[in-house]
Amino acid sequence: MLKSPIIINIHGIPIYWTMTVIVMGLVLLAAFIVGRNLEVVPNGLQSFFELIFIMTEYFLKEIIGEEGGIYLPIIASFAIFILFSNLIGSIPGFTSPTATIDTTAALALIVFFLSHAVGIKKHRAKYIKKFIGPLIIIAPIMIIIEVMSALSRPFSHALRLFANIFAEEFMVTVLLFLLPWVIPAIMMYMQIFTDLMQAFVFYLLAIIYIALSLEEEH
Amino acid sequence: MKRQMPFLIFRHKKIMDKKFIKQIARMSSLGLNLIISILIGIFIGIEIDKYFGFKYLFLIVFFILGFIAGIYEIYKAIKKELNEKL
Repeated sequence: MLKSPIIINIHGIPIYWTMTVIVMGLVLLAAFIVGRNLEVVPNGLQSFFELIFIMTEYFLKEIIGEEGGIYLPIIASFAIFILFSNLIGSIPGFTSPTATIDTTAALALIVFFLSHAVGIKKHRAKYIKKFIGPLIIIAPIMIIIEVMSALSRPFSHALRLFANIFAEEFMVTVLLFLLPWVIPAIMMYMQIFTDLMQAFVFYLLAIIYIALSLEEEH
Repeated sequence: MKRQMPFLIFRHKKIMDKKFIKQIARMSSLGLNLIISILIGIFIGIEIDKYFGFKYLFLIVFFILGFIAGIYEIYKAIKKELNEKL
């Protein structure tokens, strides 16, 4: 692909590993700067972190209920990590670590295992009721169907984020070949919007999948 | 203490209320789910066919089951949305 050369490219290590480490360092640095001097009236960076914190708290209370507060650390760190790693692709010399399926698959698998573990912990043996379906007679078929739809969730979860971030980088390249004047710049502005949107959708779906395995079966 | 919602888009409650956002996230996953559950069905079918030595019996069976799984997911989502509104 036609891209500006990657600044840090260690031979033998995949690029998305180094990019992930860079994003982790950036998030840690930002958190350190914010945490060192907290103010009552927040300034720019602190209000950004507070926005994500309050928004996550609000959605967890809204979708899962009062018990949803425990998941605030993991879901908020998902939001910050994915947002940073999407946005870093817009800087020349870097690529998004989420533009490879490996990073997004890891994130989706965390959500998959977490949601089922939490469901089993809450419902114990009754958790299998979710897979049997409404009637006992058609249970053998329903189990296959439910397991297949449960397996399709992490795939679609990972694939959506990966495909969107990969496609928007590819799109700019293609437009650059077609018309190398104003249009690619407009697409690059659109990139920032889709970055925000995809981070938000991934994070909301993570909350919804946890809520789905926590709710009672009627 | 009840916190006020800090972000602007939620002030316009009619356009962007919380139920609407929840619906967007859930419904946008359904289309991809349909395709991927069919693909998972095809994969399982091919593997079982290889194991038992059939040509394409289980491929067809699991293709149909995967399709049903995708449709069933949509059915559940729609049923849930309708129940919440009534």
